[in-house]
Amino acid sequence: MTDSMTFLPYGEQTVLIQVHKDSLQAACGQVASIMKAFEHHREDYITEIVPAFDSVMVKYDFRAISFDTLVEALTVNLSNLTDNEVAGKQYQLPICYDGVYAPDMEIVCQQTGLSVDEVIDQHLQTNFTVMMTGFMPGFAYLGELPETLAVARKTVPRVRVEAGSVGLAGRMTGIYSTDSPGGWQIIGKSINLLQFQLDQDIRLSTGDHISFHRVSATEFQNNPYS
Amino acid sequence: MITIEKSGVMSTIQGNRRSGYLSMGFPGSGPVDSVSMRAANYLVGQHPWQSTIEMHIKGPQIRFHQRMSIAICGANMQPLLNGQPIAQNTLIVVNKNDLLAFQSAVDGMVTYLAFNGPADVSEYLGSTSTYHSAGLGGRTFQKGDQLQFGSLESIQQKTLPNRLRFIGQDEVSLRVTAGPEFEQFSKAAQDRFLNSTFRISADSNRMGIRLLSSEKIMPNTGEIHSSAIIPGTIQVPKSGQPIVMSHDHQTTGGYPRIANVITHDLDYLTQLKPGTSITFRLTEVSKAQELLLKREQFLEKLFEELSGN
Repeated sequence: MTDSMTFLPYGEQTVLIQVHKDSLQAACGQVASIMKAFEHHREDYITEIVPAFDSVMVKYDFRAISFDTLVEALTVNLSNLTDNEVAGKQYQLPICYDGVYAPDMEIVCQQTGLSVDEVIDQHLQTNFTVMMTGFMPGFAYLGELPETLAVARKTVPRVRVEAGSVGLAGRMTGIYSTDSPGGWQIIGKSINLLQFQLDQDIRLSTGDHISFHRVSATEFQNNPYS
Repeated sequence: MITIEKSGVMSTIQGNRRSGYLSMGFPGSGPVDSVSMRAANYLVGQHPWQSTIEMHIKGPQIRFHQRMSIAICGANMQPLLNGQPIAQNTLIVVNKNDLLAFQSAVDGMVTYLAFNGPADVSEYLGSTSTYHSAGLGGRTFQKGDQLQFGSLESIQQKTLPNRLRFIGQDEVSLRVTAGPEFEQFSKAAQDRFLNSTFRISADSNRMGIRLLSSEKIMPNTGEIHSSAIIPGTIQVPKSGQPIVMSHDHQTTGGYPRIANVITHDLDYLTQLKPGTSITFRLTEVSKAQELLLKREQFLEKLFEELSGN
């Protein structure tokens, strides 16, 4: 399995595990398997692990282990990866598509030629894969949207998008985890993913799955993480 | 207790790095010049990563409501105590009602103010350091803000070793290791990167240091799939003008990473004023580790002697 990955020195305290696969989906699957392997076995000299689309960064204590010895150990630990779809965890999150939470629904309908109900149906029916976490605290890139739902980013980003807002951009959907500027097309609102992860001690990771279930504005407002 | 009477340009609490939350999108934060911060904490007899006030470009004016000891290290901000110049890199005793004023930095960019007792600031995810661009773990100091302190210790005057005193230079050579995408740049682009003189852009901050060059460094591939960023990573966006990521970095990025400024040299880089000329020279990972190890061992020994006294 390790023939589909390379170990690159990255700065003096991290190694980058670069995954080589034909498709991004397959790369994410491989990253999920690597993360699962680290869940089972993680040496104390590893201080941070950052999964992304097709890579995993491993920060290590260089006073405890050399780069070469670390790569040898990783090669052994990651030699029996299970390359399958079930490596990730499944989460279901509430979403409210009511107008006040969906300022860009009209633009999305215009760009896709779909009705509001069709946009909502297709978004609800997709079981998304977490392609990458991070960028900003608590954020998760979710892929892939059906091709029929692909939209362009806003030409002028909003100065402030509220935490929990669910946006579309290209073939990705994402939940804004903190109030921040942003250019994704907002079609609904879900929970504050950052506080949810911190409180529940959950770390979303590449390869996990997220689907949405629709709630009313009242139900949404009663959610502790809304 | 102290009161901020004028806010200065950008002052925040910085102490220990936030660790274990990188995959969630939290950078380590903490001091951009960890050497100067630890120098200040050494002089006031505190833990090396004790919370300090990190001041950029021009520091605040601070009123003291009690007698205490302080130390100021890093960029020279020509501090005045009740209007009279005082020295940096030494222990200073201040009295109740004293006013400490900082002017614009004349050498360097970032100055640290340390106290002889722990500031009463709350931790966020295991760290007191402010991640201000995300509005998490605190914010920048504003006029009227107050800080309380825990038990103050009686401190002996010490001499700060020369290597812990910041001294600026107009032309700086920094060591880098090859980045994950180094080989994805053409030989010509690699050579340009290693032979060009860059200037520090004024558009630099705790997130990143932008570099300007007349010669653009163009990657073969415009973007990569977003991947992890660490302090020191040099990203090359489509503009061809590199950005060195600092301690409030975004945790992932999609631009090719040509190189990494070694941690030993990154502290110094974050002190350089806009317009400073810098060049890069390639070094080995093992050499970068050796340099960092020597520096850290020097600092550890210094603080061990402190606790031994």
